[in-house]
Amino acid sequence: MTNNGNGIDGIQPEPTVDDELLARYLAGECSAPETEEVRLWLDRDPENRRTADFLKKVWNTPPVQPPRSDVDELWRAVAAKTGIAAPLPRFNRIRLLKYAASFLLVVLLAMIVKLVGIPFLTSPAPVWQTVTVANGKTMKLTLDDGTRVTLDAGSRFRYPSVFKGGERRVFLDGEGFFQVTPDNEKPFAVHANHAVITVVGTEFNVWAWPGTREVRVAVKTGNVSLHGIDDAARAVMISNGELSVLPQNGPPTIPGPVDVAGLLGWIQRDMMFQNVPLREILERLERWHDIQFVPENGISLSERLTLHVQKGPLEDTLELIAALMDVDYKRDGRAVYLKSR
Amino acid sequence: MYKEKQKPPLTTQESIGPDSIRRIRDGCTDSFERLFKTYCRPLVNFTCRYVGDVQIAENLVQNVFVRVWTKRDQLDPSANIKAYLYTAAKNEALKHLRHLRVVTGNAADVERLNKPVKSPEKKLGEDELAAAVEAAVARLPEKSRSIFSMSKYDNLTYAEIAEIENISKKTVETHMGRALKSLRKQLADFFVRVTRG
Repeated sequence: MTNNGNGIDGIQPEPTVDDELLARYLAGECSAPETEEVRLWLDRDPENRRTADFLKKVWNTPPVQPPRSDVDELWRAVAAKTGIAAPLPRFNRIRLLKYAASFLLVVLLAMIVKLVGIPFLTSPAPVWQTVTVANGKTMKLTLDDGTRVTLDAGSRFRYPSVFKGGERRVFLDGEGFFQVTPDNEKPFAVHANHAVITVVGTEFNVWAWPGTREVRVAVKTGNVSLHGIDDAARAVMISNGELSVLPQNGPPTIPGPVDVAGLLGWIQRDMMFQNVPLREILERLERWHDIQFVPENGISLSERLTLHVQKGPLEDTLELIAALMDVDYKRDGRAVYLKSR
Repeated sequence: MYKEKQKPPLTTQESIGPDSIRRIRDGCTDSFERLFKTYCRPLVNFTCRYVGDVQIAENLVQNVFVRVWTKRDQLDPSANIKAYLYTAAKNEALKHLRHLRVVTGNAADVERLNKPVKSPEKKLGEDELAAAVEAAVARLPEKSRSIFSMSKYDNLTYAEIAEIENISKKTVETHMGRALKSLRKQLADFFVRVTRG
């Protein structure tokens, strides 16, 4: 009742209602006395009431809405990105239409152990095969379902001769490029170190060398779920052109863009190393050429280099490293000695 | 009222209380899903006013929710989750616009995107008043416009707006008063039509 005058001569001044009060009234922000004040004002003059009615109408006009979002679809994407759900069947229904081409998985097997008899198709239990790729080689393998895997030198790969049950599961130590045959009903799972990588049908690269503390997954096409074993709650979904790294401890990194074609250079032995520690480059060269580096103590293996290793004789690469690191090299059989200049 | 077992559909915003936030903080995905489905569309509409493009708005809103989940251990059940979400969405939008400014180097482009979105299905004359109101709001000075829109379209309280814009409640009231004054002036023709027609 702030606007009541002292009413000495019995005439009360007109209650005025300013725009701020009106705005509060429309927005529902009025206190009880303020609401009362507005009501008094309304009763004063029919013109006021008309004004108020008009403004209420203005207040209640709907906005020009943007096109309606599909909340369910947006939710599915958020659930996937946070690892809450791995909507593989749904994704597959959508993605399968797009990725109709067959996928190849090539698995490298350097040594086939105890593989004498090929199990009959009616055999009840699948026979597990383990193959190890010799240094200096890559290996391509086709699995029971047509999935093709390419494995890099030094990798070890374990897979069943026949995929039974609801999941196609394989085990990898090393590096492999997978081209997975689509199958709605049976997700394909790669167990590498402590990571579990699940796909339905897609092309992706797994980097999981024993002795390293991490697993790297890069996707060429499709969608791949990555999580640490027993840590499915924190899985991430990696899409086309993305990379995620699962550290020894903790959840995988949020997938980020990467030059996948560059990462896959190892398949052709033509690889661009971008800011990569020397140790990693040397380890890869050791496996590709079946050599053993013996660096002198003073040489820093954690120094990061950027270099392009092209297909060709080892000598060319050694020359390049020698120039970059200012070292001399000497070959002696399988050993390559590195000495600071 | 819904039965206990039945999962409620797109809920009213009143059903996201401190208990829900506590559950989300403790990792309950169902509560998080409810939070998402409750605020997704209003937040997209809100964000769209800043960035002018629905798909961009959807992406930004998704980013907000992903961050809410990954940082859920920092959620405060006693705080206002609605203000938090709107503030986060606004920051994402402004960040996006700043990025655009850097990328395009053209302030005029950014300014253009800042205008309200025109719905393709809206026919002129279909609801003249609504269109006129929208236009009048668009002509308000930037601060008053965003505050007024938040109150009218997003149904945010003055307290929430004050929190999101990082200003005092009094300042919100001042802006609201100015906005209404301007609107009354701009829509004077309609007033005459409505009351005499």
